[in-house]
Amino acid sequence: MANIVSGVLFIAFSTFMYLETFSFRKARFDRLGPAFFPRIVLVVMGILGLALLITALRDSVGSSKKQRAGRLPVQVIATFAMFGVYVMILPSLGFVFSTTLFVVGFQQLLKPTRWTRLPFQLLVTVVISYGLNYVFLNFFNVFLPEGFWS
Amino acid sequence: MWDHVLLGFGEIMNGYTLLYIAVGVAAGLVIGSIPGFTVTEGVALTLPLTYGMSAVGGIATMIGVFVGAMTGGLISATLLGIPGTGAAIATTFDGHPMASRGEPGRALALGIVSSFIGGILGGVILVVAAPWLARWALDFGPWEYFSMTLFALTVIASLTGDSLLKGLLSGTVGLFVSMVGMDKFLGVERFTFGFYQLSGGFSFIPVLIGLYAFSQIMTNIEDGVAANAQVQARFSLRQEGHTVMKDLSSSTFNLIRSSAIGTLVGILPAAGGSIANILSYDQAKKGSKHPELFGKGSPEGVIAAESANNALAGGALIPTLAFGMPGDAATAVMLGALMLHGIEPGPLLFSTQPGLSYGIIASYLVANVMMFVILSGGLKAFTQVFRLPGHVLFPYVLIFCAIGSFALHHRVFDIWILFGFGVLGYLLRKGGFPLPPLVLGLILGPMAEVNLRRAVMTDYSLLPFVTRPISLFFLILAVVSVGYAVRPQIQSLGRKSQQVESE
Repeated sequence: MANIVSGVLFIAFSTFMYLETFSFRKARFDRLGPAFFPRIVLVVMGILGLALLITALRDSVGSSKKQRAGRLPVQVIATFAMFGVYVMILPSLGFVFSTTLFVVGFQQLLKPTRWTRLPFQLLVTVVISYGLNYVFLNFFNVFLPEGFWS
Repeated sequence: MWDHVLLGFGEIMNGYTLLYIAVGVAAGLVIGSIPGFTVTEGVALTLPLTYGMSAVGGIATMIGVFVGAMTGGLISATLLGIPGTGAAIATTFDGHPMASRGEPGRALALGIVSSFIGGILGGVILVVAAPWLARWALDFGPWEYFSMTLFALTVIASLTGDSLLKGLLSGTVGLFVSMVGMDKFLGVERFTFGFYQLSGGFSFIPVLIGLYAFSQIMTNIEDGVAANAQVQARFSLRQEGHTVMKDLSSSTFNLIRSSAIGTLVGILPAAGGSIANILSYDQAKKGSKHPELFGKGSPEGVIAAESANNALAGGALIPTLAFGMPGDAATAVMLGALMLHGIEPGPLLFSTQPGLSYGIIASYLVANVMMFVILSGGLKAFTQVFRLPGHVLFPYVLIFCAIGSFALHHRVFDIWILFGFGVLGYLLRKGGFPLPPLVLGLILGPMAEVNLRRAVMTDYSLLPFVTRPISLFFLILAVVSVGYAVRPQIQSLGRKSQQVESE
């Protein structure tokens, strides 16, 4: 099933992007133009996607086994969601605060601890986040987001 | 040449640079020993830290991490049966069985010494061959570069393991991603869809870190890998010394052959450590008097895998310095570091900046010596890293990934790129699509396109691609490589049709 979906996605993606190449400007002195190479790559991608789809359909028809639906990777989805939220709040809340929230939240997701340990966990994370910000600012000239506090 | 070599050593023989290399090696050993973290991630995470250093200092640090991480994978591969890096996959085949039967010290000692010897042999070839290859590279025109890039792409496709189709698809994704942004000749914006931040294309580091580090962590979380191993066996390297020397002396040809394979694979643009150690292991097994012992704790297997992956590091520096073409993903990051310092690798680097180019080679040799000393003396300390549980480690790794991405242009947009490619990398892994072809399509795509268009602009006819000997040579290699890749599929089809006929 995954290969069928992948094949369809690759075909759809390559077709859409191929159509997009018709909007590229051309020049007389450049015989190939900016669309040439992308079109070759996208055609190859489309053909390979079609081959994947055909192979997957053939294998699914020939196979007598029923495919069991896999378990939803809840922790992975939650991690991605948390990181997405982290990047969203980073500019406004700043590195130290955002990182503290993310790290503690992520650690709780992977291994929940008793709520009594939470203040200690928060304190340690704040110190580490502040330390990282300090090191990158003063030693590597990397100005991490400060947030609206600054 | 030797005066340049001495000049190179002179460039790095100061307290700061040696300290950077030592710290880099130690950090690389730690990164490489943690299952799930790759050599490329280690080198990529080091990149932002080198912004304030000199060019030689920065590259020397990254080489230290490179060499350390190549060897660090040995530790978890041997003690846990989990390769710390892709370069240690084949090490698990015999290193872990040897450790499991009560000889962890022997396995580790064999790995450390083999890594050291392989690295030094790779370095010698680097010293001798790099300037020669650089002079030869001056004959390269856009036809030769395009043909060589094409060959590099086909080599990766032919070595992607289970599914050639998925490997090729992954490569086309990388090629496509490389074309996003302004066209190199006309400045036409391609596939930016109004995002001005994409005018310069996708920044390489967030893409790389997103694909590898981010997606690997997600895979580890899904698999429940918490890096919380218990190192049960006690070991003493000193006690194993006599046995190890006997193993090595009876496997000298294997050691040299594996180092040569590693160096040659490293020289090929776009090949990587996981390819080198598996190839050399395969050759060692085929050439062994006792192939039946492979997979059960054969010292030959450990020697083959570990000498090849460290020799690869030296080999990978040759195309990086001589052509400006990365030998593998980790040297691609180093190439980025060189460019950030305003240095353009290529054939003229050895003649115009001998101090820098030979300084890089010297730092590679010194890094191997330091790796041997640090690991031999501090092996027990390094194994403590296994006690850090995943729920403590993983969040901070993601934070470092975010910092690394942000530090490049001071844009949060680059962290979104990291996130996006992290999702893509995870989905590709789940779908069985290998990541190395994608990264190398990303690196080689611009090179292929620019040189193809330059070649056609110079001469509208395509004949020079086949009339110029070096270009023809690489095109033939590309055809052979494709043939080698599809041969198992053709043989398999042949066997199936024979089965159908006999039924």
